Amino acid sequence: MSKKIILDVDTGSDDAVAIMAAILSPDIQLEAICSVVGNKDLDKTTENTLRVVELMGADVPVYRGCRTPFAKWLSSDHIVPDRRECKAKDGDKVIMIHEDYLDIPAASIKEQEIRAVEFYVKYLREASEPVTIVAVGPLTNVAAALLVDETIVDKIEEIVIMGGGYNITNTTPSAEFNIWQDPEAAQRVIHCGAKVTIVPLDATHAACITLDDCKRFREIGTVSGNFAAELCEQRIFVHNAAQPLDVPDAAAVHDALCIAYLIDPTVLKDVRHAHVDIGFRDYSEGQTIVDCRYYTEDKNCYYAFDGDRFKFADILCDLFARDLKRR
Amino acid sequence: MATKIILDVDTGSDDAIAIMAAVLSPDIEVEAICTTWGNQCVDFTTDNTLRLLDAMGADIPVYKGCDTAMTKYLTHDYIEAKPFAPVMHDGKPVIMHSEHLDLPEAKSVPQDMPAACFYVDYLRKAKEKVTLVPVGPLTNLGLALRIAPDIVDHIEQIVIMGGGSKEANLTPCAEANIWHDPEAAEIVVQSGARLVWVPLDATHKACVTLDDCKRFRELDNFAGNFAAQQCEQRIIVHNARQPLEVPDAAAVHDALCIAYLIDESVLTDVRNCHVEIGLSGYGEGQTIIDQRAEVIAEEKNSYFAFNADRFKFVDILCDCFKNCEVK
Repeated sequence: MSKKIILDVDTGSDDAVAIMAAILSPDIQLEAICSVVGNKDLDKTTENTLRVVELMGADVPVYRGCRTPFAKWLSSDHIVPDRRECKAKDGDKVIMIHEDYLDIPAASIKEQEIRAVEFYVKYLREASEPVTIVAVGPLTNVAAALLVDETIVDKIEEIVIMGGGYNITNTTPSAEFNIWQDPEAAQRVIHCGAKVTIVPLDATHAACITLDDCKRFREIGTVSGNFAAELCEQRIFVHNAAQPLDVPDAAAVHDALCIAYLIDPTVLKDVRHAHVDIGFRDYSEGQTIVDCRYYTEDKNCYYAFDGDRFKFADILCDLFARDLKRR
Repeated sequence: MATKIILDVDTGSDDAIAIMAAVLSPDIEVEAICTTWGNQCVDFTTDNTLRLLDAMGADIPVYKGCDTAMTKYLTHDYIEAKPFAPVMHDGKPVIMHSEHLDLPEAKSVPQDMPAACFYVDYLRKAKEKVTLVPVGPLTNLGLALRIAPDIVDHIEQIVIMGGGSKEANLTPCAEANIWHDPEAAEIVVQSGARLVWVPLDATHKACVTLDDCKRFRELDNFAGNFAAQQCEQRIIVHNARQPLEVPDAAAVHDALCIAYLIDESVLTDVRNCHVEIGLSGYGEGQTIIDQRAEVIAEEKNSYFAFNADRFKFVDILCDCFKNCEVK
């Protein structure tokens, strides 16, 4: 039986790959997609999400989410990262890890009338069976829904989060972007009582996609394989310049790893049951703190320290091959 | 024409008086009542609200709201307010807000939709602007503004009971409603809506005396009697712990917001100024009024009442309560 999921995205290049994978997988029934501010502002992440759904010809409702993190920008006492921009130069052309708009036709389909948080509450209250939430952007929508009605947690099978990092960070010395963007929301979600699986940078940098993998995606000859290859190549170009991985000519495709995990959990390796908290202030703002003591606090998360890049690429190839739209 | 309002309460002895005044005033049309945590947990404040409406025979939808602050309790670094010991009177403990109002149990039940979702749904569909009157912590409204910031276009004004410039009641610098959820209050402050603050500076001036209670009782109906009972209880506690300038008197904070909607001149010394909320350390929950010279002060975002007319206040309440047909 296929697994019902709700995706929460800030599309985003790797979000686009995750959406295509979720749409194509026979193991996944994609109930809805919620957009949130993150990689880009809300208007752009919503538009980009609609573009991918339309490109795939999928009939999946999209809900517009939160425009601002919960509390972060209310005060001025947070660290503004001295962030080396995630971009690289190709001759005169600047390549971004996430372009403002995905390079596919503008969306003619529209988002739903009600907002993402309203959708979560309504959907989960009415759900007859538990559903999995896959949140691959900042956790603002999910946290807001859990605050509006805490009883919805009973309808959540699992929350799979792309975010955080123990040995690897990317936004401040201590923080990964999704968690840094809304630390208060993240803390509420990981302590809500549902089963929480965290897919952090430790796993996504290990399960990287290489230029050779992009070749495989392209050779499949489908729209999704081709678009995924383009997005991954763009990411590899920026990774090489700004954040080179252990494997040469490779990029993390963070969000898609969450979808791969739902199809085959063994794509995540060294998954440890652990106590995780989020840092809020000063140098620890947005840090994912994993309690590594022998006598730990209560364990609230499954945290993946590693990922299998060969399995990951194989899973994606299998999915893109199912796409009926030929290039 | 009657002013359409949505009340947001944590009933609550003074909330009860505010609800009665609003329901009984011909100048006010109560569209709905949202409940929030604050004086008590949200189950109790909701039950108390329903009890009161049932006792009055009022048919107004009640929406149950949040049971905790947006972000406050996610960390440990907030200042604990000292718990209040009950005041002993005639050998019996008297507290400002009993867990349950001394009324028959409620027969009616809250609506299905949670309060924050109600705000979003109602305001987005509203044909004309509506006035919001939050007299408890601002959690529901802060959350609604995060879910759909565009609802602000449908808000006529927000009349807030909360804060204090020269007065505080929970910590050395904070009033209870704002201290309970400073982040939500700051979201409301930054929303761009017209804000009228009814802070302790005004409510302590517009106090209700034992003589006034006599006047309420002489109306010889449910509203007059119940209001007298609540005020007398409040006066006992005020006398013991927080005596006002006028002897044998109590602030009836929340009801002053309703009186303002009936007759603006009940608030006096209302200044247009910049207000912001302290979010951490000793300033947590403080309503900070920018008192610097005009040229260097931050942009004005609020009307803040520094004083009020207690005689007018009581006359307004009597005018409302005399309309009560329940004995």
